[in-house]
This record gives sequence, structure tokens and C-alpha cells, in this order.
Amino acid sequence: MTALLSIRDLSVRYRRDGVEVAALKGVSLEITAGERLAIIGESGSGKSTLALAVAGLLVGSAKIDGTVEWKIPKSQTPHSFAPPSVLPDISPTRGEISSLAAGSPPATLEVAESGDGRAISPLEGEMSGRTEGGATERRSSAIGKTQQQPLLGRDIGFVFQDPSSSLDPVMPIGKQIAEVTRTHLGLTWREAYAKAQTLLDRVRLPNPEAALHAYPHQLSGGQKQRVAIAAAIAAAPRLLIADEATSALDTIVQAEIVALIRRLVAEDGMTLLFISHDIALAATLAERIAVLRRGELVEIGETRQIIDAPRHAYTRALLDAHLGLDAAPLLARQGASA
Amino acid sequence: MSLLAVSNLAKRYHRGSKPFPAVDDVSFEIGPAETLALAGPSGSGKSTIARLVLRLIEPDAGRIEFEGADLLALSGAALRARRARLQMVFQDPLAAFNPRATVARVLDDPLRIHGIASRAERPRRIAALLERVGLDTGLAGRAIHEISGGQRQRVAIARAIATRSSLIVLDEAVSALDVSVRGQILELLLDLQRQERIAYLFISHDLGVIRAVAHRVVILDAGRIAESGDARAVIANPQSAIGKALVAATPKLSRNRP
Repeated sequence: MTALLSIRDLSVRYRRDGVEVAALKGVSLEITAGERLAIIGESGSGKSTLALAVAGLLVGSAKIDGTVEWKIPKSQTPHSFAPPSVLPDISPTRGEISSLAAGSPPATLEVAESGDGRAISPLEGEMSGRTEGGATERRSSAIGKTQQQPLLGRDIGFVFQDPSSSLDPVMPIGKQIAEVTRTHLGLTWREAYAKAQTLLDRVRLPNPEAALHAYPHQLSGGQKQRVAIAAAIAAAPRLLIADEATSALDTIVQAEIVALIRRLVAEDGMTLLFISHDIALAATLAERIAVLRRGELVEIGETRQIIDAPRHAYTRALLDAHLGLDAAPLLARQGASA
Repeated sequence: MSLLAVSNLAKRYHRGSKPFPAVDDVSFEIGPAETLALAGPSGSGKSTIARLVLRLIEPDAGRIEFEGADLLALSGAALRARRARLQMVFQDPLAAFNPRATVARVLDDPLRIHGIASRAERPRRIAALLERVGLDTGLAGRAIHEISGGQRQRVAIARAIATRSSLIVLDEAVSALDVSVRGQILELLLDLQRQERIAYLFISHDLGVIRAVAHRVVILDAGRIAESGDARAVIANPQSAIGKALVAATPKLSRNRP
């Protein structure tokens, strides 16, 4: 049980229309190497902010306190970094798959960028279906690309809710995946394309060789999400973050994508951070569940404990609000009381 | 007698030069104060049926009878008058309403357009509508974009009942809401149904929600009806391949309470 990441007392505040909004309030948790951890919560709970903080994707104007300590095992020495506050090199034509994370100087406890007034907060993204449109507004400041820093794309793969906005609409999908391995693994184009084809096969896209030349608009929503996952895992990251990655898909496709994520995480020994509003879905995939509410960590525990013996009233309320295929129908309840 | 009777409805779209049937020979009925759910994967024709029933698009074939009238034969003033009784609530009320309009404006429009209340009477009617859907009357002056998603969906429901509708088409109306808010909105819909005898055509991809609120369900696959029947019976024991796949894909939360 070695920790991959240690989050300590993490607080994130956004400024919006001159008002400061606390998105995360003193959250501490450890992510164990190789585990599947779900973060669940309703809108405004801070679950996406937590995911973005771990990935170093928070907007430049976000005020961050606390630390995200990333423990790289084996030959590499453990080190600490404050969550990078900005993400450089996300251009509208690239999306998250080829981006480089900016490392802030280690041991910096507070990273408060001077707001430039243009930043788009992830809170807005949460409502509109988070898009790379937000990311395009971000600008780089301090770019510290030391090799020990966790690098988005190489060390962290990120899958967003809406694959239509995380994929480049005018670039063949094979090239979008090949770019990741060219950038992070230093492959030649020929090698990168061969790898991209293997990845498309691994995410079970039909006819991977032909699919290399397909454009995103030629694919269904589920297929696009498979491509986004292929790009996210292309450089063999240690941590895969899926932020509401199945929420825009219908029930059947959602189940297929969850099964795909489960298989890929197991095959590659990745650690999974699964962000969801759906406690039942999270329970089918995760070994541990963390419940967030209004920026605070309500409770964290083994999935069975959270489902069967929740310690917090809010978790119980979430479980009771779930309408499963075995729940008492509201119609019947109403009939009984009428 | 049925409130809505849809028979042999068909609608083709063109994908490139190839026609593909979005809705293919679909028939169903809804009685007063009844909830009929349409379920199915994306592309199965659920939302196309909703649009056809609302006459937002025209079918290629079939018949739609609403309150005994041939809905497809109506036009002009007769259609407008009938439409007052046939309302809709969509998934995202922020997209459905002018975001800068006030809550009062959104509710004033149907009352004025359908001649339901005089100018002097309307503020009182708007306040009554807000109370009916569980909103503070002080919200009337707020802009649509300023209120929460749950509050907006309550405003959308208030607007749908403002014209004394007998049937409301709910197209994924609770799908974007947080679970706690979703439960409250479903309770409100059931309460309105009981009090005002409103029928719902309830479109959802979520079998758990359908099972909780619908009397009957129609499961669609590629524009055709795969199976239909009592909502809880169909979901407990689906017969069609798509029905079985939908049930199997629904996340199960098996709780062992101590």
C-alpha cells in the first residue's frame, strides 16, 4: 500500500464577478498506487476542482492552498509540488491530449496568480459540460518542466465528459493519438502511428487501421470517448483521471465505457481517479469512494462500507435518493399515502 | 378514452443521401392522469416522437389524436388553442428560455398569449403558479440565469401548467439535476398529476427513474417499439433484446443495511 499521491489540506478559491468562491476547503486524502478511487458529489461539491488540481489544470486565477504531493516510486525520488496553477500549451487545435503540465516551483505552498480577468473557472465548465474552450483561455506563466514533475499526458491521463470538445475536429484521430506518444515517448511518426493503431485496437474501435484516418465527426459519442481514452493512456500514465467521462452517454454505452476503463486500468496497472455524480455507477467500479459536499470531504472509505454503513448523514441521503431498479417506486409510496 | 392516441407514426431523416427511419410505425395511447415512459438508447427515436407529438416537426405517415381532435389536421388558431393543453419541459431550461428574461416574464407570456388572465390579474396568477411549484414568490423578479437548475426546472413546470394543460411532454426533464433535487421535482410532478389529472409522456434513458414514476413503458430500438407494458413488470422481466440490455447496463446499488 504505497501512496501515489498525497493531498494535504487542499483549498481552492475562484474569483468570479469580483466575488470569491471557495471550491475546495481543506481537503486531505491519499491516493494509493494501483487503486480505483471514486470521488462523488453533486454540483458545486468540488469534485471536478479536485480532479483539475491533481492534473494541474486549474485556471491561473485560482487561489490554491495546501499541497498535492506526488510520490514517484522506484528509481525516482519522491518530491513535492504545489498544484500547478496553469497549464501551458493547450491550444484550440490540441486539446488535453498533447498538453504539457506546468510545474510550479516545489515547496511553494500558495500559488496565487495575479488574475488577468479572462480566466474561466471550472465551476462554469461544470455547468456547461466542461470543455477545452475553457482551457484555451488559459495562459502559461511559470513553466518549470523538470523531469520529476508529473506531466499531464505522460504521468497523468485525463478523460473529460465531452469527447467532442476534447478532440480536435479537423485532425484525423490517429494523428491526435500519435502526437501524444511523439511528445511524451519520443517516438518517430511511423512508430507513433503503429502505437496509435494498437491503442485503437485496445479500446475496441472497429477496424483500427482505417479508423486512424477517421475524423471525430465520423464517430458516435461512445466511439469518440474510446478515442479520448486511447489518447489519455497512450503514454502509459500512472494515473488515469476520468471526470464524468460517461455522463453524456446513454446507459448501454456508459456500461461499455466503464467496462473498458476497468479493463485498461487492470491491464496497465494504472491508478484510477473516477469522478462522478452517480454513486451507484461509482460503486460498480471503485474500491474506495470519497464523498464531497460543498468543497468539503464528507467521508472516505471502502466502497462496501460507504454503501452499507455510511457514517455521514449526507452519504445516507445520497444513497436514499438513488432510484435503482429495486427502490420503492414513488408512485407506490404516493398511492399508499393518498 | 385515451387522451393521446398515436398510430402508425413514421418519420425518416436523411443521412447523406440515404434515408434512415428515425421513427418507424409507432403506436401508443396515454390516458388522463397517466404517465407513459419512452425508454431506449440514443438514436432510438425517443426525442423524435416527442417532437412529432408536439408538432414541432411533421411526420411522414401516421395519425396523432389529442383530446379527440386530429392534431395533424389542425392549423392556425385551432392548433394554437389545442397547444395550450399540450405542453413540454426539456432537459435544459436555460436553453429553452431567454436567459435574461425574468421568471415573471416567462410565466406572463403563456397567460397573455392564450388569453388566460387579464393584465391586472396576471401578477396574482404568476404568484399562485410559483407557489404551486414550491417556489418563493419573491423569485418573480429574478432573471432565469440567476436561479439554480432545480429552480429553473420548477419554473419550466409552472409554465407548462399555466395554460391548464392535460398532457406534458417531459424530455429528459430530470436528467441533468442532482439526485436530491431530482427526487423533489419527481414528487412535484406526481403531486400535480394527482391534483390536476395531468398526463405525462416521460422520456428518459434512466430505467430507475422510469420505474419510480411511470405507469407504463414503451421501449424503443432503432425507431421501432421493441416492447411495452406495465413499467415495473417490463423492467423486472424484459423480453426484448434491447430491454434486457438496458436493464443489464443500469448500475445496481445493492445495499446491505445493517
